Amino acid sequence: MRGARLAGRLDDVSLEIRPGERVALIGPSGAGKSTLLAVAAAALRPEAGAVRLFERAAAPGDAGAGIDPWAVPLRTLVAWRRRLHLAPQAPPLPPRQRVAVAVSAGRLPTRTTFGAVRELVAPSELDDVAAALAAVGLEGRLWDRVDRLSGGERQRVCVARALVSRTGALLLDEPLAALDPERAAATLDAILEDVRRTRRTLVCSLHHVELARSRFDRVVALGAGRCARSS
Amino acid sequence: MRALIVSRAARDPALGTRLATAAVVLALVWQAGRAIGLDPGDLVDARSLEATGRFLAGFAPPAHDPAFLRRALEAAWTTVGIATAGLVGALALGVPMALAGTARLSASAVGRPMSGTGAALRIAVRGTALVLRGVPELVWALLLVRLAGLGPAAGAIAVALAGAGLLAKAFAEILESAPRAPVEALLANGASRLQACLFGALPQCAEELLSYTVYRWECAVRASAVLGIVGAGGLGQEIELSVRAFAGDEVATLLIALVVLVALADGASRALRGAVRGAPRAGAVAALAVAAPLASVATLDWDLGRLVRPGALDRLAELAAGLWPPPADAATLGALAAAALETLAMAGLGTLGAIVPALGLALLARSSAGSARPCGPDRIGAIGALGRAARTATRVGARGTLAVLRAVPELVWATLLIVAVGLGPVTGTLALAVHTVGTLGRLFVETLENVEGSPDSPAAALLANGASGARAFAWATLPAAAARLSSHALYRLEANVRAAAVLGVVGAGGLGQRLHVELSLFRLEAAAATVLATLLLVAAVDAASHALRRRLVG
Repeated sequence: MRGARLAGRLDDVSLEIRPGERVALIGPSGAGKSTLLAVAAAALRPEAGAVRLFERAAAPGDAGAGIDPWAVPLRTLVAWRRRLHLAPQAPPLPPRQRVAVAVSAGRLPTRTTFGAVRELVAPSELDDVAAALAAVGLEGRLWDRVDRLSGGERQRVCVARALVSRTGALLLDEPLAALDPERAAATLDAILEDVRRTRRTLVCSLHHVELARSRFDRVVALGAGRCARSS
Repeated sequence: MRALIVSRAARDPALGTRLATAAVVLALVWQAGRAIGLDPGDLVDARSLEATGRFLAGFAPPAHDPAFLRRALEAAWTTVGIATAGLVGALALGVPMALAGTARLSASAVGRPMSGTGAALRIAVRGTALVLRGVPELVWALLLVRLAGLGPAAGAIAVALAGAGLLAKAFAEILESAPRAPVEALLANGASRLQACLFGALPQCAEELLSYTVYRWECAVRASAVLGIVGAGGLGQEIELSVRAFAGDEVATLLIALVVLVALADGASRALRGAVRGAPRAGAVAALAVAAPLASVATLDWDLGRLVRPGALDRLAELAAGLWPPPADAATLGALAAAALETLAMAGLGTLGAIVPALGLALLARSSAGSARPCGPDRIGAIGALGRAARTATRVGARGTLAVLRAVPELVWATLLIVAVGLGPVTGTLALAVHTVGTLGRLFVETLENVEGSPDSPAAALLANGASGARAFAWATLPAAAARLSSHALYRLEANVRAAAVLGVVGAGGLGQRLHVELSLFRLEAAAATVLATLLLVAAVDAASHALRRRLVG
């Protein structure tokens, strides 16, 4: 069941991402970008190969030193997942939820259960939510229902959710797919401004080769499940 | 700029409306509770608890002497016979009405507005169907008992009349929902209504029509079990007799028989639907599922002589004349309004009270409990196996509980609860709630499984980011499913208004109780007024609920 859509195939991909790095994943549809991001977020278990999280790289290529998220107890695995924000490509928002709640769900994993329920009744950190929405060009849409938004607006709500999350890394799957070129550049700049300010790691899959080249530290090209080029 | 955004953001604009809505709902619940005389203290009264305890203690072991088992089996056979004969009658009556009521099939309306007579005929047919399905089976049976006496014939006719109204409406809707081009082309070329239906509409909707017919049969089995309570024979009658005799062991056996029968009907209808879709090996089961009920009709003693004996027509005319005119004085209307409010309060509270237990059981019973969750590390060894076994046992237990609550109809729950709680609307409300937990729980399970089943569901995204299961449920699954869950609850409210209107027959208050008393005293005009009030209430609640549901999921 699980992974029906994510059951992509990755062959011989080896990628090391250092803290604070900004990496763009490019490649045609079906190249395995979504699968790679899900594996990196410890949301999908690879059938073969190894994932190591938060490894302080002593020697590059040495995969033995970090923590294997699939070898620790579930509680620890969930704790690691809280330190990574994965934003899937299809905006996973309940249709009748309002934008304010949908965005503040980015902070949900770090809240207590009681705090989470209280937030549903009376959202408290609305300033941050409003600022994140303004950053992606959705000022004043705080109380709109998600299903009243257009596809591009919904995608930017997902970006805002990632921005308010307090994680060490953002793993964004095609956050610009439904946006027009001008809006795509502005949204990407907002994301980059945020990660620069908060000094967090960004891994972002894109179709826009030009944007990837001009704005990222490193561009990784995937082709048919293989790591074609890393520059 | 930022200050402006923040000051506008700080207040939730929907908060006032939400608080007001909550206050109105609370006030309505309070009023409804008063209308049925609900006193929570009554439920835990020591004496009634003791009586219940003694009654329940008698349940084990269920009666199992061969003579009684034979009686239970015969009763189940009778129940199936009544249901099947009723469905055949419903088809005979309902199909012509559906054909006549479908505007799409009108030859006179091709290329111009429908003719006056055509439109008038259509309205008349639809109105008849509305009355037939608006009056519950049990009320038809109560009226028919006057005519045909006690026995399976009255029950089958009651099932047929109410079923015809439902079939006429559903069939017409199915025929209207198919693409219009094939039918229009045939009509434009001069085909008749029947030809257009056979060659244009039927090929497109045959499967859906059959599937709905099979579902109706399943409902008819449940309905005919209930009709036994007013003397139509079958399981309902046996249960009533055993409850009156305080024979808990017999009640237990009969309840088991009822649950098994409903489960069999459920399985048979699934096999039939499978056979229609061409599933392999479903054919043999389907053939059995058709043959057995027909055999039950053939072997039943219908005593039709009573229906056709001389003077039956006179008595029908007498009955019809006696029903008219219904009294319309202020006292009657006031009493009817009070009874209607009581029925409405029972249905509302019964539905509302069932929502939380139904959701709880649905959460335990859904099969997707872990599937939206990103996979965790392997749990191996004894603890992992134990955990898995416990989860499976919980799920099977919850599903079984829902199935039993659902299989036993409201009216049977009411006859059982009367022993525990006594006569009155509170009993009726409890009976409705217990049955509704079963029906609503099953619908909730389906909705939750649909919402969380896929790997890119809203809940899966939150779980992948490390949210706990409870938080992902409250923030993603519940908001995503809320509209559909509410729509299911409203649909059950409609069904419960119908059910509450007849619960009074066993002494649970409301319109049904009035009707029962009036028919027992041969006050036919007053009975007709009560039936009209029932029709109005059912139609009003249907309209309101339909409008709300369209807003929710439309």
